[in-house]
Amino acid sequence: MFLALLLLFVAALFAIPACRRLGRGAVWVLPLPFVGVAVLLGTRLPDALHEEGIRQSVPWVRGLSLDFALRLDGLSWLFAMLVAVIGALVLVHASGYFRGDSRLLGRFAALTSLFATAMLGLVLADDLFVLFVFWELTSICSFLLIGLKHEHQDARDGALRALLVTGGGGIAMLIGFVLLSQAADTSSISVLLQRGDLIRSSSLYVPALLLILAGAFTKSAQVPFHYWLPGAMAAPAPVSAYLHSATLVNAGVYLLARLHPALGVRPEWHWILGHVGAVTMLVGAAMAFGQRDLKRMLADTTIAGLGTTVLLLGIGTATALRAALVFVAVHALYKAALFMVVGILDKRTGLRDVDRLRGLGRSLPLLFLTALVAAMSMAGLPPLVGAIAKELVYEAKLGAPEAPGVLAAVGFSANALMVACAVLVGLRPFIGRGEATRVEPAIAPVALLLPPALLATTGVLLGVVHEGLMAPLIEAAVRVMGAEPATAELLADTAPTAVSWLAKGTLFAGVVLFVFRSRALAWSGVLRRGARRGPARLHDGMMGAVAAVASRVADVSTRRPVAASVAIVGVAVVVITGRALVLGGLPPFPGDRVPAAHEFVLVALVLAGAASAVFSRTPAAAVIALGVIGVGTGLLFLLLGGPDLALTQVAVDALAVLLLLLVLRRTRPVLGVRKGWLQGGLALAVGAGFMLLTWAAIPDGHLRPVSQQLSELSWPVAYGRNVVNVILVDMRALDTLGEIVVLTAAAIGVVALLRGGRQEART
Amino acid sequence: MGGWLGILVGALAASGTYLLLQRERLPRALGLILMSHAANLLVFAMAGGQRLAAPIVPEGASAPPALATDPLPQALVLTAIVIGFALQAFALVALLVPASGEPAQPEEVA
Repeated sequence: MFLALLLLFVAALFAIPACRRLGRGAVWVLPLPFVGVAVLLGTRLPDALHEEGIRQSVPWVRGLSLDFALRLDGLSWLFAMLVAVIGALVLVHASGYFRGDSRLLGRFAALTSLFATAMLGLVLADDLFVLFVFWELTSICSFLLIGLKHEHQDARDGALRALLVTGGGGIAMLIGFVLLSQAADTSSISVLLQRGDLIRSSSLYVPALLLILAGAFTKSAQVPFHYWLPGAMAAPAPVSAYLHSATLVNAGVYLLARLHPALGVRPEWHWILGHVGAVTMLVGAAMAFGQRDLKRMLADTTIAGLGTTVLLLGIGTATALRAALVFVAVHALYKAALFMVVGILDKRTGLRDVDRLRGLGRSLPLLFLTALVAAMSMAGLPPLVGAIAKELVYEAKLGAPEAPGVLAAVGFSANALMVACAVLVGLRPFIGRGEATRVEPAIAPVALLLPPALLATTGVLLGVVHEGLMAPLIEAAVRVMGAEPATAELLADTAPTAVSWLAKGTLFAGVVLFVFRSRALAWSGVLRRGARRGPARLHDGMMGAVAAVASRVADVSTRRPVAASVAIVGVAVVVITGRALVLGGLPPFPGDRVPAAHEFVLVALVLAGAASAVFSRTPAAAVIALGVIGVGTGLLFLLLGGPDLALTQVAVDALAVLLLLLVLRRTRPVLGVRKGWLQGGLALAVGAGFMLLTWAAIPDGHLRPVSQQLSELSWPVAYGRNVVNVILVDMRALDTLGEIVVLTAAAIGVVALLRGGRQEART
Repeated sequence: MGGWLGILVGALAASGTYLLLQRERLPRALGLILMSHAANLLVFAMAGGQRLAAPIVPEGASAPPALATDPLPQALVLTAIVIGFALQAFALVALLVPASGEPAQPEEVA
């Protein structure tokens, strides 16, 4: 399993050069690591389905007894396989989609491979904190992928919104993980799942549950956090086909499924998941039905699908868990295919508007067939695998311990809307008499069309031989989730009458909705707009308020002449040191001995430098004064037992002088130091304060205990002879990391300022 | 010679403050650099300012000689020098290089 992660990570590193070198040939190379992972997973399937699956771990942070632990069982196998297979297909599709722009393809492939690494790590993780790390990595990758075309304002907005929502949820989830690991006294997921009773009887259960749900609900776009998903549709179609069908949005669902045995039997779980899931299902379906933009319609149906899955996990019976897993797989297959289909439509016609695309079946027959098959799976028509999922879902709802009637009714409404959407996506653009929409010639028809066609075919295949291919996997996964399926088969030979009638009725109602779409839309406009816009408005309002407060604070604290700010700080220094002097008396002049002559020379040199920095007339003279100060200080460091300091000081000083000269050459600023008694008085007072402060800070000869300890530990523990160096890179390594970050940030800032911001692309 | 270090810190801080209080941008940038020198020396002086051996463990020993300087202030100053440099570089460019929208400072006649 480590091999699989490594494979994808290496792929991410080499994707950009590969695209540059290979050009069109990249299509043969980019998906290979994903295929490799799929093969690896395939060979491990028998072991994974056996009992608790495969577990591997290496120690990570010993001090926290944290292991980098992975676990492959039925549940993680299902999600990991979706990541690998759909990833490979998406890369084939993308190499057709981005044909002619190998830079964009390279960025896409690198980020997608990195994202897949994160996603795979997330579903394989066997430790809460390992999972969290990968979880955050998926958020960051998704931010970069949604903003792939970062010249466009809406892409940046959508990416930022997605990052804020999922990132905020991630932080809540981290706190929830900490509470959960305290309640269970372990952060290992495998161990934790066996301590369900301990967790459920803990007083930390409710806060931990709420915080973890915040993470899962934001990631999986549940109401009221659903609004980031439509905004993410600013991403190119291949990104949506991967992130918003089968992977990213499934992360929250996966987390809930994984933790079900630990968190999932108390009434709070049923209540929250049931209500949130049901509302999300209905809201998503209603929003989708009202969309004209096909891609946004698909995004909204994804919200509905995620709601369905959460609702099923909330019901929590063995039947419901099984239905949830089958639905996740089915949904991933048809939704990825449909996103690609809409991407091709957009590419070939420049349109995504369902009310304007007409009669494309004649010019794009193969695309029509693919779309139709995928949409049939979405609508739940036999013999496609979608039909099985639908019947399972209805069976689960009717078998719910509470309110089965209400659940079935809500599910019926949402499903009918989904059927109507399926017709709108899979049939409407391709039929119709009269003028067909104009079609641009294909650029890379095979690479574009093959992946969705394969996905659609898989839907047919699984629909026909579902028992052999899916049943054992789903059964193993349900067992991992702590439930015991009543039968090994997915579907009984004869479905209960109520289920089959509901399934048929849904189809009928969906077609009716499709036919009377315009009337239904007019009737329910306010509701749908509220669902679509409400939370997004709130989000934007909050962000606006944060920005307003920030700029207000900045105004109050900085909008005055710089000299005034400096004066405030200077007066504060004088007042504080002055008060200490009044209370504690003047510190004595710390002089152990009379300095030697060469020491006096150095002191005099630096003093002269300080004076001439103030009194020099030309910029060049001031720069020389600075150089003298820097070198003099460096030599003092050397003399007083700090060779490292001396080296660094002299090197930095040389750089600073160079930089100053460069800037002076480029801008020729005026020096223009003006004399002022007030400034001079304040400066002298500040100087005196600093001097007395230094005297007071000088110790009376003994090493401080902490320094003593650091010196003694340096060689025996850290194996370093240079104590200063050991402190920097070992004992205070985190501070040094911070230092490097500051340096990098400053360097980026300098480059950005010198180059000037890039121009906004015209959209 | 800790006392003399104190005098140096005071002189650098006084010059730095005076320059920071100026109206032009170049003296302000210089003042910033002087202030960071003053702060570095202040922390360094906390090691005592005596002429002692560098805190390095000799071959064969397991700790630095008893009369070595305090390594901790040195480590702090080393970090401060690098961060100070980053700040100086950024401040120089931000203060002195005109932004794209803003007119350049009046050109001197050469």
